[in-house]
Amino acid sequence: MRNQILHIFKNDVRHFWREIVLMIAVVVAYGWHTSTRSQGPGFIAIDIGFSFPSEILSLLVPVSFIFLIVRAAHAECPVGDRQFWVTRPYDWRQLLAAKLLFVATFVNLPLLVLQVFLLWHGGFWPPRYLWGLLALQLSWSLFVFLPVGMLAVVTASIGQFVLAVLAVLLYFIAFSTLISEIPGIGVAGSDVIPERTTLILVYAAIVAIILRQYARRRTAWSRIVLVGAGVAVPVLFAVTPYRTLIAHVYPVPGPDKPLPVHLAFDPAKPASLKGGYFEKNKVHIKLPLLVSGVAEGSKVTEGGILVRIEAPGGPRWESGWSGGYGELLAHRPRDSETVTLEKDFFERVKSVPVNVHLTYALTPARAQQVVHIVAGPAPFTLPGDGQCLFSPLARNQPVCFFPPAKTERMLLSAKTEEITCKPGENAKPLPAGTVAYGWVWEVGSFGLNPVSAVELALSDFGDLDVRNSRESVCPGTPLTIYTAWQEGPRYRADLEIDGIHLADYKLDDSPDYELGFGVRVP
Amino acid sequence: MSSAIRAENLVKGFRKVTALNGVNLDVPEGAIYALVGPNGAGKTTAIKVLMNIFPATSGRAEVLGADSTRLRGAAFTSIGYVSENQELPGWMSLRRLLAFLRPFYPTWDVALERELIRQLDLPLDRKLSKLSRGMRMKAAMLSSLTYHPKLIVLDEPFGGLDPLVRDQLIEGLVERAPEATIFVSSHDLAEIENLASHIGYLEEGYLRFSEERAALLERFREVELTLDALPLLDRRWPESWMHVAASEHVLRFIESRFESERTRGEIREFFGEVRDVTFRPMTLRAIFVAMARAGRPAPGGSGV
Repeated sequence: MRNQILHIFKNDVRHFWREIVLMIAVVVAYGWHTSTRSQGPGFIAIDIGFSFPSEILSLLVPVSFIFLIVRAAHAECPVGDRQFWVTRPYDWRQLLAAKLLFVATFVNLPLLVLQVFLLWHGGFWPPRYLWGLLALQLSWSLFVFLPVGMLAVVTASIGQFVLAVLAVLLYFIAFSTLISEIPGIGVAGSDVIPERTTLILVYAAIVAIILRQYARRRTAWSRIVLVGAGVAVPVLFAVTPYRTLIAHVYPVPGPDKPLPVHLAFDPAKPASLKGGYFEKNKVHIKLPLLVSGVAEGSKVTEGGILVRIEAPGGPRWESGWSGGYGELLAHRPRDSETVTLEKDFFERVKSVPVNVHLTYALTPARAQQVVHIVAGPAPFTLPGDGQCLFSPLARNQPVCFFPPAKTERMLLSAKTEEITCKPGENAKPLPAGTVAYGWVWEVGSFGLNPVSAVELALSDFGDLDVRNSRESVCPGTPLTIYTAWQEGPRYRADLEIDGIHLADYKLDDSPDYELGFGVRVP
Repeated sequence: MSSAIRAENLVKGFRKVTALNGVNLDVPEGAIYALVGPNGAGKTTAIKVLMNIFPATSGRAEVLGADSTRLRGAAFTSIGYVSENQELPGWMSLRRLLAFLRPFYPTWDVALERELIRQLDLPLDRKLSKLSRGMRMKAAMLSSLTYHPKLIVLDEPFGGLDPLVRDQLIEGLVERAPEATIFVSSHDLAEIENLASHIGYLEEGYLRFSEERAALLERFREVELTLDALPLLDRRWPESWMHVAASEHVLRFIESRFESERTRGEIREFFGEVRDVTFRPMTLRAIFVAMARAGRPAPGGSGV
């Protein structure tokens, strides 16, 4: 038979018509429910607040896709020795192609139609966002459908598949726990090599398993490869020389080079040492810093930090590199570094003057696009085709809707004296002269709904106490938006702090938070 | 005559169990080969290795002239495989199954399909999962015969079937015999005794013998000697004598390499002139029982 693809495809359609109808019903229900949660003409308010049907449906849609993929793969199951098709003249390439056609028709296509509809309903013209839609399809295919297909071809039943999924989830939990213990992991830029190698390894294993299962039905081999890849990945992370990579990615700048930020220790004792939390056998200290030199429209990202503490007479402690997430911005002269220490070490050195050496891995960046806008009250736009309006569902804060794969990280800023929000009950008006910041992170790279909704808010008021000021952006508030960041050369910066008493900087354990399994003893 | 199936030193192990121990097999084209042996002897494993369902641990096999490890896809247009434990697509009716399979086989014979449906008395529109075991076997057989396969491989096809269904299947099979080689396994010799042209006996993964049925029947005899004196049993008998036993003046044994003159000569050598000698032909069943009791390869047996 020359063309088995369509023949097998049609047979699968006949076989799984109930599952297909069920999947379409779930997709339609999700599309209808999402689109009817309208809060204004041309806009949909998803991802704002909790909606039980919405949560259930957004879970059921991928589950129905996964179910369909598994059922189609198991119809001609490559696992086992009793399958009828094994001794029939199937061409394995055509069989695989038929299964891919089935998934493309009844998984990718419905997903695409759903996303086109939601995009259109959200006020975005779908053909303009074709690449974004294709990127979403690719993400779903690579991160969900392909791994699901791989697990389906090494399992013989839905029960086995569910067990395999549970095993994979447990593996990820164990994997995350294991790699979080590796010093140096999480420092931006240093894990590119293990991450890319892992991706290549995992996808090579997935593709090899699928091809081998259809071509030769070697399930034992496939399962060994799967487990082998699972073991190789954490080993790869464990043997990566992060310290060397960090030194390479973040070189020490030349002495004549102007630095985009200058960090210094703030000799003034901290006004408050609240905000700590209980962690068994750990102590948190907060070191106040002075920041200067960050230009307007620039940011310096703390990619990682290494802390070394030396006490007279020998006691010495080093944190190892850990990932950092702070952003150093203009108009923020003060910052702090919270360091988590072993309690034993702290008790030994807390009352003696110690030298603290901080090494930062820093990445400067400058916004290539600066936009000045005034928020509402009428709908307004943001870079990246963001459509914003004030929403009662979001506590009268502006909500912005973005089409897929168009959003870059945006830094919002506003002068406090220009913020038009009325002070909350028992709150003082914001003092003039401070710049407030807020972030809009990259959105829309993955998800069922191609329209991402983001609350526009200013969250960083520096040293100001704004606990009772609920709103931060109100109609009439002028905002400056910085985006299209261009990174400068990464570098390492050292900061020496000599002769401080750690006890002066110890954060109080707050009863509000507890971490880990430690028991707080009064 | 060329071989439809040839296996050389085929070994298949499953972790600690060795299911096949160096099996050498040669099934001539056009033969009806019966592979018999007790449950757990390795018959199904042997067939699955030959059909490339399992990979062999070592050794090699050829099926219809092709390496069995390359048996896939188009090669199965010439092979009909039916197994008692094969999972048919239960959601299909027989009509749908046949419609689905038809385009896969260039030699599918619609007239033969109709004839077999009538002959095997199969319901076309009932789901396969709703059919009885016998009906399912008939459906599997039907779907494996209608394209005139050169090789029909049947793994325990008659086990547990009522005699009527069994006869229907055998009848359908025998009609295909002139155009195909048939390789059938069974733990029950009676099922295939009259069907087979060649017989192999597999036990604990060893192929004890493999030869033409007529030759096998010819070389086995129950021998009864009447002697003048009480026989001494503590002697080294010829290798081909099995189960030597005496009762008073009568000595009985099974000769597994019977040739009238040679066997008489051996008897004379051991006992001189005897009062009476009787050579009785044996049934296949009696031969297999003797073999199973002896638990060793049949002396004088030869690979076909």
